[in-house]
Amino acid sequence: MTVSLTINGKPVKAEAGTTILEAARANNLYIPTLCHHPELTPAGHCRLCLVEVDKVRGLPTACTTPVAEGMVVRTDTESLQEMRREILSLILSEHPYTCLICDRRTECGEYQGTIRKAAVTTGCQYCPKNGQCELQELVERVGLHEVRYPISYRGLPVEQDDPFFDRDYNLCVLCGRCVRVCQDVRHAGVLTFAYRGNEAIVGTAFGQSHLDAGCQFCGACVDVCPTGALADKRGKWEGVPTSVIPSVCSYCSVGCAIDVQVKNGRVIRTVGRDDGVTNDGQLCVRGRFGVVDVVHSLARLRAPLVRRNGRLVEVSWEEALHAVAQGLNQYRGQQFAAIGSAASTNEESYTLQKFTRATMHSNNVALATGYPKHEGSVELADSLKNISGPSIRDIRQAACIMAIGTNPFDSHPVVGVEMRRAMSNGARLVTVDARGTKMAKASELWLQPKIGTDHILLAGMIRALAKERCPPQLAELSLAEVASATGVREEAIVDAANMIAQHAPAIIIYGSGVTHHISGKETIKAIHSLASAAGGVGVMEVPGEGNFVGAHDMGAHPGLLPGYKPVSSPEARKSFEARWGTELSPNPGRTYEDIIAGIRQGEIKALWLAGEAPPLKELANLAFLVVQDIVSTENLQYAHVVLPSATFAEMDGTLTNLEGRVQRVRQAIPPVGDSRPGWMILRDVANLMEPGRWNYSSAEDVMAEVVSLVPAYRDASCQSPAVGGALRRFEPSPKPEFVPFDLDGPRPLATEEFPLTLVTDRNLFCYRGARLTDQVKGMDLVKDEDTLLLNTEDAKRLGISDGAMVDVTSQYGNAQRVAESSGGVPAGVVFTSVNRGVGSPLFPLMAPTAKAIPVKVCRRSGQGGA
Amino acid sequence: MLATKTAGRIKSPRELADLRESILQKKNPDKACIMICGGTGCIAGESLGVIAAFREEVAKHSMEDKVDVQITGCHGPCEWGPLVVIQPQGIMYQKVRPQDAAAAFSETVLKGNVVDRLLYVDPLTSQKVAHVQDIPFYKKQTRVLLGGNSSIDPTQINDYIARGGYSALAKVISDMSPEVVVESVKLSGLRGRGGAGFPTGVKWESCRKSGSRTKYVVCNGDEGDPGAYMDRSILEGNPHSVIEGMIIGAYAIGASSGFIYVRNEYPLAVKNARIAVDAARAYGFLGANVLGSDFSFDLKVFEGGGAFVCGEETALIASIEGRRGTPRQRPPYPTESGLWGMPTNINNVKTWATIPVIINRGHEWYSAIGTQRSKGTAIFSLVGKVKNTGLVEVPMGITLRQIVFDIGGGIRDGRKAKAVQIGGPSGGCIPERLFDLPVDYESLSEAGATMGSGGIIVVDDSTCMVDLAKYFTNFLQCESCGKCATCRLGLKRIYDILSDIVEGRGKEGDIEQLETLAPLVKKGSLCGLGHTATNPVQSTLRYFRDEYEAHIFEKRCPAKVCRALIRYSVIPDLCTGCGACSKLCQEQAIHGEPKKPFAIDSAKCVKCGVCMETCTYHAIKVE
Repeated sequence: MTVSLTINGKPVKAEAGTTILEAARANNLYIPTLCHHPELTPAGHCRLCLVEVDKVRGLPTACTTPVAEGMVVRTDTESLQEMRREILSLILSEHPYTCLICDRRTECGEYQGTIRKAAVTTGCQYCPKNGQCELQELVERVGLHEVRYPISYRGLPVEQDDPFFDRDYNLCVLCGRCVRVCQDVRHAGVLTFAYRGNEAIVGTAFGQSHLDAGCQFCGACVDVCPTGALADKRGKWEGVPTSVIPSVCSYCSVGCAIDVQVKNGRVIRTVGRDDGVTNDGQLCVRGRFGVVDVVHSLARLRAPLVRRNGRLVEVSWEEALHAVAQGLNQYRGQQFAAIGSAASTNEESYTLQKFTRATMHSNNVALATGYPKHEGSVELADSLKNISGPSIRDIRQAACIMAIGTNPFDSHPVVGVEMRRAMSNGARLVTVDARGTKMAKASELWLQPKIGTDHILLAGMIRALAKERCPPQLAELSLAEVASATGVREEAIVDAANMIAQHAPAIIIYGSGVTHHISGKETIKAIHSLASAAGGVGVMEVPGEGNFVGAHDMGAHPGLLPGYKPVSSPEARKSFEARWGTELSPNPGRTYEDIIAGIRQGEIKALWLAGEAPPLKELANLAFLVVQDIVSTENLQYAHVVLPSATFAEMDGTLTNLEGRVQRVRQAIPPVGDSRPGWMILRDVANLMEPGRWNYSSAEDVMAEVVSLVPAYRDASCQSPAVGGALRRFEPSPKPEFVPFDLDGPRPLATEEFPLTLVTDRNLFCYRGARLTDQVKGMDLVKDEDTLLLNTEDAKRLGISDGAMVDVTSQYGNAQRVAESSGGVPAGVVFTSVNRGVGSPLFPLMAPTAKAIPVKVCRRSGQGGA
Repeated sequence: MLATKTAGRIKSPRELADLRESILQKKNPDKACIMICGGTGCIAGESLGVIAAFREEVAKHSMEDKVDVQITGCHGPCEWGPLVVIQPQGIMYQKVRPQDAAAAFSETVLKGNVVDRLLYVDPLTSQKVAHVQDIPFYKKQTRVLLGGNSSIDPTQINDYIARGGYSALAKVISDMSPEVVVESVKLSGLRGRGGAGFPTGVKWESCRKSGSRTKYVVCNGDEGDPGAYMDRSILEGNPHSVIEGMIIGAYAIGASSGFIYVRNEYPLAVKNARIAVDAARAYGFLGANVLGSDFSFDLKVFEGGGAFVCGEETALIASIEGRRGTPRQRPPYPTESGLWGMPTNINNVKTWATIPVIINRGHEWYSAIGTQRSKGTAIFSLVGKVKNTGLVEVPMGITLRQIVFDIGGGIRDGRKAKAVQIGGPSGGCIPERLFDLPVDYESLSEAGATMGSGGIIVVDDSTCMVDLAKYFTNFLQCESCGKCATCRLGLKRIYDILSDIVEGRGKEGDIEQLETLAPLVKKGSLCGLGHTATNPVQSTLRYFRDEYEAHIFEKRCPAKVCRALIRYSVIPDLCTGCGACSKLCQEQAIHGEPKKPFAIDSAKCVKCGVCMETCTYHAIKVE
């Protein structure tokens, strides 16, 4: 409904429910604000937007007052302007203002610090927000030339003990944006106002450090701060960027739209874009604070290396490429394999698989973090093809959310934000997780099935639905049986089923806890069955890495060509053979684990390693190893040639997120050192081996070829919009009404030798070979990678106290962890996160892919244990 | 004392009438009753010991069946406490010590004589007054709400019922539709007693009309004004009157649950309110099917943390919801979107307690009290430099002069009245020359003060008005929640300027700056705290501008209060050289030879005033 009102004598139309401020701004009428932020609930802290409204008592704030039919508003009368100047000078009486009203301020250039008249503590050139401070603009717009009050400097110490950002509350104007974003948007509840009156200040409860208060360092508070009170440590003194390039964060499958801020050829900051369709301006600690240190890491590979006399030496690209072409020439066919990265761009993944298939005539191309070794790999990949479900933005509308095998609050915080938003709107949350995560504890219903019984639990839920909804295959299933198999009470199964069936719209979110589990194939079928039985419930898969979906779309899979065309199908091969001008092998290649096994057995002789593989001693068996990565990893010791790769900040390309949204990453800075984009490296090697075949001059050229072969990508080329991208849509396969699944599916069982079940958690604090915890200062404080969670009773029985070093042993190997016991962990199960990049290996074979294996845990000293 | 009847839930108005009948029948009208105030003020004066002493006396004489010892709520004049009233004669004793019990019992209860030394002395006539009804302090009041306090035991629901308690509820349930109740409250002219004076019936009506199934009623008992304690007194002394009012309100509005929000600094109020809520629930006044009707309602007592600003309704809501007690911008008003986003009707303790009276005695009766636009009675806590301090309940429209002089007994120590600070710290000062102003919402507001929650602080000529303004401004700037810029910073700046003035650093332009800042804070702030916080400074500027000017331009404090602006000296002609002052001076600032005039070293003098108080020859002056 539209209402008509008058603002400053001008007739204005506005949607009912909008505020006076919104109506005025839509009509280019300026009302000064400080505490207002379009993403936040208006609060009326700053009082600058006071307006006069006929027939309304007092002066309402434009930011909180809704428009009404016939309203007569005045925003700029002389008395209002005078009041605003007074209010602003009151605000500035507690904020160093010399930099704002000094008559020489415009002459205070970057290198002319000496003419500043303010002391260091009072700002001027020494404020991290100089040039970007909202107060500076406000003073201009309001027309304040003089502050009659002496500066009342709070004299608070600058808080620098927490990672990532500093807090100088002497510069705080108490607009409350940080508090509101932390509470209302992120639902983190870390920031609050403390004390009263003039002593009021922003802080944490009881003055704890942010770390202790549970801050996840998403940086949302820093982004909304109008002054220099909150500033990220890394970019604090960098000042105003010289260029800002819209791009996409590559650290997880959400695909958050970011702005890469650049100054002097260096990335200085990455911030969320408010127009980001997946993230709405929000980021997590990885995207906000984890990019600069990775891009400009000292560990970056800067020049190609070739092994000579047992040592890697720097060489020119020409030499290195020739060495690769020469080395690989001898190993065409089944003895060659490539391991790709699910964090690389579509263009990189496409060229890697094309190189493997067309140039090397092998189908041995797999992702280091692909699906686990079993025959379901193709089926699991197929679930990515069929992504068409709810978007991330749809989550906030959900009335019920079931999360299974995923913990977005920690792993995909931006999805977590949407879930919290839905919950604050009253959505019910059902969590299926063996661990008592924060999300499990925040959910209305937390089901804790025994490890490996997720699909049985889901079958029980389908059975518990109304009779007419339950498919005949499950009509005979007894809930008591399900309860005893899963360890979940019958009533809880019924409650969960009802919750999903009775609250529309409902969404089931699942992640790698399902897909990477040994019974994942069954569980996915069960999820889809439940969704359709409960009546049109949306299903969303939340994979791990940034381009997990895209890499599969591009055919980085041993059995699937780009566009999920099976290699075994002559018809499918035909179009690719025609385009690529070569014959393709009809035999499906090796999965990641098979490749490693092949190396061990000497069947694989040459490997192109571009993925985030853990240190693999098997690599020593290879006759020829090419490592293409962004940083130096332990696997370099086996490499014959090392090719430095550019990061997503240094090249153009596309990424496909969990919604199937193809978004552009853009080159913000020239490649660091002598690094190059992956597609360029592969092009050059391919052309050396078979001259003249590959003629891409840009990532766009690669994508053009993809589009010609994979029509689903036709809208999603590099010409797609700068922000938001476009959805790729595969020919929808008919929606299965009910997929029968094997109720007894494989379940890992603890053995006498290995009495505990280890469940691994995918660690998304990685980008290619770089561990964020190693590369980014302070990240190790946020992400604890070395902990083994175990049940309190188990810990007691094994004589393991919290903080003790323990040996975790499986049939594949062993690793060390620090024990931490918790009541939220079921007996007989232990949890740890898996490092995929550099660092201590954990069960080299099983680690990256399998979800649960039997292990034993004992104290480091070798005494006690089970 | 009547034993609480544990008859279970009362299922109809009829059963309630029967119960009342049976309580009254059991009561022996000839039985003597010793009523001892159990309010916080009297408890502080050891009234619990007095009660024990009287019980002991009764037991000693084995007269349990002939004499009752009853604890009552606060009687009002706490300064005279502990108060004892002996019925049936109605003799009142003041400042009773436990050791006085024996005399009072043997003389008055047994023989019917009066113990002279325990009687109250009227400060105006210096006459001793024996009977409660003859004490001018009471005589000039209209104790509609406070009347119950002094005659019932707040922990005994049967006491309340015996006095006609819950009959208004019964009447409403059996005879009145919610619309009629709202109409009746509207016609009564009752206005919110929390201070703003919004017509209660209109508020109820808008809450009633807001289309929501879940609604709440809240009793605002977050009485935070220094020196004000009428809400506490009612919650401690007659909690059922509030509960009954709330049940009637909930019935009229359509609310199903409610909260009594009390500060946790009021432990006795919290305790008595909880006891009362439980008792009312046991009797079926609360819970499902109130008095057997279709109407269900329940109440919870919620303890506030004691922030002054939580008396502001939106902050109070935030506090109940478990958030930081910070006001939010209105609209929407709580009647549209209050607790957990539901329509919520918040009224002050006194407002709720008035409801049963209006229902029982009719809105015509109620609206006959008071003035054209302000109806009924107002309760003030009369404190400061008057002879009789305490809670007073007066009809609206009474003049300040009547309150201060007739009820308050005039100014102490023979000094001159200068002004009253009315309406608490965010009220305003009204000078003595305007004491004939009728006390009602409009007149006070025009005079620059507010009804507030009803504190009256009487100020004599020994008070510096600038210092007074600074004191209250300081209170308010400390209690400001700090959310909105004008209140947080404006009050602080005002306070800084006032501090400068009283500390002798005042300069030209300060008054003008105050005159710019004060309206800015008033108009620009978010909630009622900011809207009214500048009343003290604005009203003192309005009526006592000369004092400001004296401070700033002449560096002189006319009331001789501001230490930086005064100087103590010895009047040599009067000084006998006794040296008494010198001995007491902590700073050793007074020197002299015995029997010769002493002298004060103003460099050392900290202006504590001890010398002046000590000197029996009035040889110390301050200028």
